[in-house]
Amino acid sequence: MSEIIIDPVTRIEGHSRISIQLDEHGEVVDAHFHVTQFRGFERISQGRPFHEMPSLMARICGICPVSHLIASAKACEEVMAVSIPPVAVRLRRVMNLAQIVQSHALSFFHLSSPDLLLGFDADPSGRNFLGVAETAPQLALDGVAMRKFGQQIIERLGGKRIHPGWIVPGGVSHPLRAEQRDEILAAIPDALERVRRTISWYKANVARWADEAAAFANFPSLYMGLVHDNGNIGYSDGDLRVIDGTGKLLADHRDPKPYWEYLGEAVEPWSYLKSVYWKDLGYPAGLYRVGPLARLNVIDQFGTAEADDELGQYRERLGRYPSSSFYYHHARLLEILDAINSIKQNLSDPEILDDRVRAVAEPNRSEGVGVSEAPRGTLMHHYRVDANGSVEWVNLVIATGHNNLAMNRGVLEVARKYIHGTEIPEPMLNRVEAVIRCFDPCLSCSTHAIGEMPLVLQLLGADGQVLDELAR
Amino acid sequence: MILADDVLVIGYGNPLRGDDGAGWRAAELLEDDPRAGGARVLALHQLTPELALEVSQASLVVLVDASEEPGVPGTVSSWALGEEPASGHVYSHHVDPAGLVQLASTLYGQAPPVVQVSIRVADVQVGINLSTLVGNAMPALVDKVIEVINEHCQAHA
Repeated sequence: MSEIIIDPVTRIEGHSRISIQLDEHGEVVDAHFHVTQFRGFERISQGRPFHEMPSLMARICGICPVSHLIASAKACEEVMAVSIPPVAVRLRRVMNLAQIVQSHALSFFHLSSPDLLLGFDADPSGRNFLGVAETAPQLALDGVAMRKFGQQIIERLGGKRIHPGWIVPGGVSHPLRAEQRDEILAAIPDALERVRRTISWYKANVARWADEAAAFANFPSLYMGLVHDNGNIGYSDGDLRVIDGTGKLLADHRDPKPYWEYLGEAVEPWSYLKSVYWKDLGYPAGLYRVGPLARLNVIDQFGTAEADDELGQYRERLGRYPSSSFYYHHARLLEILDAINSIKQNLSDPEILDDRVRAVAEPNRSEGVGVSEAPRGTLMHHYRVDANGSVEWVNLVIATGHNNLAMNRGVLEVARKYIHGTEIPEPMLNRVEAVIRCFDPCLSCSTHAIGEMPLVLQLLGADGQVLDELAR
Repeated sequence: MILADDVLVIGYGNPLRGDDGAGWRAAELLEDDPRAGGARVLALHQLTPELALEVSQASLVVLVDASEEPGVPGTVSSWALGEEPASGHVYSHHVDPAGLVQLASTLYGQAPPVVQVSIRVADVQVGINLSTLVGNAMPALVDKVIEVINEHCQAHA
């Protein structure tokens, strides 16, 4: 028995490693995606006043702090037992959509486009975003600009790009000003042009990646996401819909808050990332996926015309319920298109400038759950507080945890396809990493870490001797 | 003629990790310092690819950072960024100075000279305060940045 270690996995958010077990013939028998960082915000939060939770929870992540702000604020509002003003709901949506744009742009352009543009077999020394900039400057420019578009909206609404404090329990801290709205709307045409160009580029090139598309975590599973009553995608709100790989409904119009009734949480000794599973199917059979691919599978439509047209083409080409995780990439681009159009729709309503944006209350319940869709999938914050509103207990169920079982299965399947024998070419290992990148895991969100490990890949013999080693 | 307001100063570091926040702190001081002559000053956690456009539009970029290089804590040094190759690590969170310059040049067709001004750290443990040695050296760090800006403007006057 031999073992291959990829440590750390590169071009993902956070630090992890992959171990691949080989039998005596050099064939893959098992593989694990290990999340090696730990943070522990659930414990840090204990004893804090509940109204501090959104700003504290936002510190979990520098990429998707808005998701944590929203889920946390919603959990606090359950504790307060209030409904927030409708305009505050819409303003939060705008910020969440902006974050989806910048986060998806980061995943697609900065992390994954080097593989897509330059090839999974390209020289790793140039297979990075600088290589993209040199080879296809327009693609890189579009990536930088789209990320900036999302970040600037967040900054305009919340005062800063990372960890904005605008979303608070009860709504948002201040109303939108007309000049803020106009600045955002003025940037919409350029952003739309860029995402349209990128979608065209992706569709023109997708045939090049047929082998990876067939192999990257391509298996039937359950899919979960928030959906509005009319079947539209529900990024910030909505009820839960869960389907199987054939589209059969397992849950629909379900209140997502009592998640413990239908989701189980399991831990393994080799990872700090917990695995969440659909209880009815047990562990680990209750594997499901969340995030862009899953959202496009569970929704009826986006709700914006241009994105729905693209969604129709996507389904025409891939089928109604595509199962390859490679298509997370395509799904991300379509969600960017929808998000930009949705921002425009929301801001074009004059009522968006209404100044009633916050409900105020003391704690009126001892427990609250807030659920929202983060860029990577469904996000759940669950708090219990004492009579004074001090936090006693916290549980966070993060998108990357929902996807953990699927990521592990994906790594195993890709390893089985591409790795044979004890000498492993780098492009094969890159494919093992790339299947993880499809999910765009955020390990800072899902655990909580200190330090960074060097990239060392070791091939170990049955006696523990190092047979081969790669450093990147 | 080059004016100071064509200059971009980026102080970066983590203000929650003691002396690692020295660059950030310097940026805050420079924002209020009339000697900076209207230079655009940013306080950031890290250099990111999105800065490439602003970098390309500046006549000079001054990067102010903390250094863990061996030496006496609080020592200020500066050097012009050379032609060293970028690491290629342009990911989500950060890009190194050479990578940022390369991105500016590749994407926007021009990259200005870059001067790095650095201060050696004593303590980067979790905390919001600078160590005594680095705190005492902050005026020297700010003065060095002002000096770099002035030299640049005088050379192009």
